[in-house]
Amino acid sequence: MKDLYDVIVVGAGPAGSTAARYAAADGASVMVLEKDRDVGYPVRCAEAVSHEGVAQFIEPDPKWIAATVSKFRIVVPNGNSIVPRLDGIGYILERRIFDYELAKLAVQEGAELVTKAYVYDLLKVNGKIEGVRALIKDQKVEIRSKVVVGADGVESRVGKWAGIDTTCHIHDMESCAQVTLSGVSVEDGILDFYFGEKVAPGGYLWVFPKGRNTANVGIGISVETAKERAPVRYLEDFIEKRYPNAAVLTRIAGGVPCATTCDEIVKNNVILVGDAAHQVNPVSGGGIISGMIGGMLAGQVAAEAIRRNDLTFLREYEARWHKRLGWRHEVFYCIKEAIYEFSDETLNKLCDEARKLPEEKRTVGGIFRTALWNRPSLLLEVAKVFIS
Amino acid sequence: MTFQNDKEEGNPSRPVKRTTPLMIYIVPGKCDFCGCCVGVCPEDAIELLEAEIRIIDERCTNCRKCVWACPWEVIEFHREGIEHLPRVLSLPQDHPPSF
Repeated sequence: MKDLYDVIVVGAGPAGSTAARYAAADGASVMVLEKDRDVGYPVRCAEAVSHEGVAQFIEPDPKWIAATVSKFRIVVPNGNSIVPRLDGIGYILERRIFDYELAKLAVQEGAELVTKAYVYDLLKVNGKIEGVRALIKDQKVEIRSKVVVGADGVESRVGKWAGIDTTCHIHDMESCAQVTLSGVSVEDGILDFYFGEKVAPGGYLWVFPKGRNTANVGIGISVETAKERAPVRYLEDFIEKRYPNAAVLTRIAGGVPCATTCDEIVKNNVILVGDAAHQVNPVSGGGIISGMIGGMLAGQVAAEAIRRNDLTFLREYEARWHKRLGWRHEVFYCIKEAIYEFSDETLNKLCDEARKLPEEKRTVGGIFRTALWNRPSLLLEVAKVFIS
Repeated sequence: MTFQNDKEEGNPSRPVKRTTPLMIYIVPGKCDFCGCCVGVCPEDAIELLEAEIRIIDERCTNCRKCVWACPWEVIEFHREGIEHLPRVLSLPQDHPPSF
């Protein structure tokens, strides 16, 4: 380990490893510090990604693909469902292997990586951030760097220490619980999403097939509604009803910041990526690909800032992120706000309307237009984003 | 070992002056260390390691957001304070391990 790096990345999830990979590829010296002893474990994810999204970064490989999916189904409270037409395919990942591969790509580009390295503070010299303070093998160490990338996930403490307000509002934080079940009969190739006040108020419940009668079954609901009843209770109800005899292979908790991107993602030589920056699709809660896009942009900008010897260039990251995905997440956020306010009755009605659409029009866009018809105010909310 | 970060320097949230006892209790042995509570904590008052978690007493305001956020109901609110509650997991006394 050196005492000075160009870039220190805190966290070796998809966003952190991708930031490290692109920074190292562009010539920066990079150190990745991962708090857990394993990269990729424990998994805190429902593990679904699109082929298109993941293939920008890594050649799809059967060793980290548990299953391929080509459809998704929305199940409304009365039990009816709609299967929108979808172009392209998706994968259910084995994150514990996928994350490993992404970390290896960073290391191949020259990044260093240490696990069981807990960053507990930023290193501040005369008020200027010059690295991190960490616990490595029970020793307190100080590691210096020109840039610190906060990829520390939903906790997002690195940003707080840099003076960024990264606290997620309880309305936007989705409190999640998931089990991986084995011995269940689920339809392969299709993602199931259950909506409704009784199943998942202020969120949704998912069943993602992982092949060979295995599935990720999980739920995420807004902390505002979780206040009344914890997500694990809803999940237990669902499993009791649907899969009473299934074996539970893993049981995990998690939090997903379904908000718009943090107001600041660059400050005092610190840049934030992934969940730490709230770079999550607020409708789906998906954050793997968007986090990797954030990581790539951050890594490229950090390396360029180092090359130019001008850390004010880090601001460019904020601009590139908003142009690439940030603006879109603002639109999605408005859509999320509308969807989660739909009553059971409205959801049932929407499903009925959507089922009347001819099959070729039963696309996500077509169904969304039907939703707009039922709730014109949604259109205004979306329009506001484009106008402002 | 103490390794708390320095809240005064650059941290946006104000220093806390709490006159009541700490009322937030993390039930020993149940936490999954997922970080959902940390993400909603406005005071940066939760230290979370790979398999260790603790409330930073001098920062916590007893606001309960962590209690609401916990997916598994591991964090509890006790109005009377948490002094009397066990800090570590203890095995049931009437069923000693058989090894």
